[in-house]
Amino acid sequence: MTAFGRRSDGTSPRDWVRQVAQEAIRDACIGPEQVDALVVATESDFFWPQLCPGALLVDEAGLVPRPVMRVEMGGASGAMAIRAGTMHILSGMHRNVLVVGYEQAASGLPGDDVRTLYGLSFDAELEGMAGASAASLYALSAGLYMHEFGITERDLARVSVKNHGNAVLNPLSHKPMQVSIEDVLASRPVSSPYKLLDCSMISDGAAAVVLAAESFGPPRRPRVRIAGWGCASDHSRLGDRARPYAFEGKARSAHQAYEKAGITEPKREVGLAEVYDAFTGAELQGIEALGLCDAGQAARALAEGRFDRGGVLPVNLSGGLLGQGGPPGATGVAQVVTLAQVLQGRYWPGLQPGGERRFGVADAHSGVASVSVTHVLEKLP
Amino acid sequence: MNDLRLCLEWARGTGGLAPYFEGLGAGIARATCCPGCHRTWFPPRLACTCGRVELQWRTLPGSGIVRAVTAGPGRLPGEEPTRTLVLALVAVEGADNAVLGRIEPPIAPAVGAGVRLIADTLRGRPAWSAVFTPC
Repeated sequence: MTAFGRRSDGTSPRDWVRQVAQEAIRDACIGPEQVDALVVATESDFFWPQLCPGALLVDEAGLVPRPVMRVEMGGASGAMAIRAGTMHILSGMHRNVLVVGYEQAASGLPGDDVRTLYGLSFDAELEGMAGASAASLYALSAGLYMHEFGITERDLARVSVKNHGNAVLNPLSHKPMQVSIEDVLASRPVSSPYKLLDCSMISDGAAAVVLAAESFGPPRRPRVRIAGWGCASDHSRLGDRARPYAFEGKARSAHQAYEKAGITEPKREVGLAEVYDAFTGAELQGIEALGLCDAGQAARALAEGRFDRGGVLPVNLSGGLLGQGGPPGATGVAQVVTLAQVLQGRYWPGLQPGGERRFGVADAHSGVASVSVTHVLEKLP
Repeated sequence: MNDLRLCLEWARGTGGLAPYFEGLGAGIARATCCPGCHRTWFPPRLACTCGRVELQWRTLPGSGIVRAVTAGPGRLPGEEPTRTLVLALVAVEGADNAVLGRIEPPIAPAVGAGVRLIADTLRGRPAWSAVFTPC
């Protein structure tokens, strides 16, 4: 994957995609001629003015005449591309599928324009035109969550401290920062209760991975497989949900994935997770929906160190969207790359956790958890 | 790097939701009601969660309770100046869901406070926002 951040070097997504495609194919120990198909993920054609990007990028990656598919599902675009690639293989249609995700969300348009466009990615007519933004909708959900479980702004800030701190050890991250709870609380207001350091960044970047029906990796490299997959939706508007503070679609998606992976007690069996932390509260809400702790208990478990990089169940070792950055098309792909490398024991040295971990969970969603996508990765013996 | 400047202006229709948006312009809460499960939706759903799509329009009183509120700097689409936006999830009396509304004047009400729908006159027609004021 490329570094996530604001690119100012004159390159464009076609350069980033070419780079990560070559890296992924090389890392899979195959040649380009063994790639059977390409899946491309990107959220918005407004950010990089290239409509129909799949047709261009299959050529740019040197993969003509292979078939190509473009996938879009908001913040879950990359994760949905992994799901599409998995479908390609499970159906028997293809054996080796290159999945590439990218976004030029930081350097293409002015930030206010990007925020306006993001505000139209929920219910554009009923909410976006009324002034709703990603931050305000997540904030409303978080406010209800805080009220329901007695969560404080300090509890939210602790997520930011953890994820920005992990990002310090990730050379590809957008915002590596050692911040304190007080720093987060003192950062400028965005949409109450959220402040600037509660919010993930709009990033440029690309990531790629090869999904294969069989492993081509070096003999000594541990094999990792996608053991479970899930996808479920919830009502697009928070006000149509019975419990707008609970990510119920995500819970359904995770349940599907765990069932396929044979996981019956996620709290005990899952060893690490990359959770879609678009905002600090969303990480806590996501952890609970994924069944990685009981409802209302994520803040306490976080404070006790359970989700730290040295904890029992590290969450967002990469830094997540808060620290590593958030190019929507690339995020879900990068999560899978991170989990695979951790399970194989070859992640960034300061972030590689100790102990044996069998299962890792990748979680992403569009909207305020309107469409959730879950993958369980398993390290094979 | 080369700059590319596009100015995009959409003509947006309100479609099946036209009665709702027309109501917002007059401060009238037009909801849909499902003849099957009898649930009432404001904002209106054109397909009920029970699966029925033949919903009927009805008018609600327009008073409601704030369930959640957030405030911060923002701007409405197509509007340049950034200002304080106060947005709330409001459960309107008679509805089974809650609507995202803008609070005017932009002072955050307490959760549980009463509000009433007023006409959205900020940007002409069509009126795009459910606007509430404390009552």
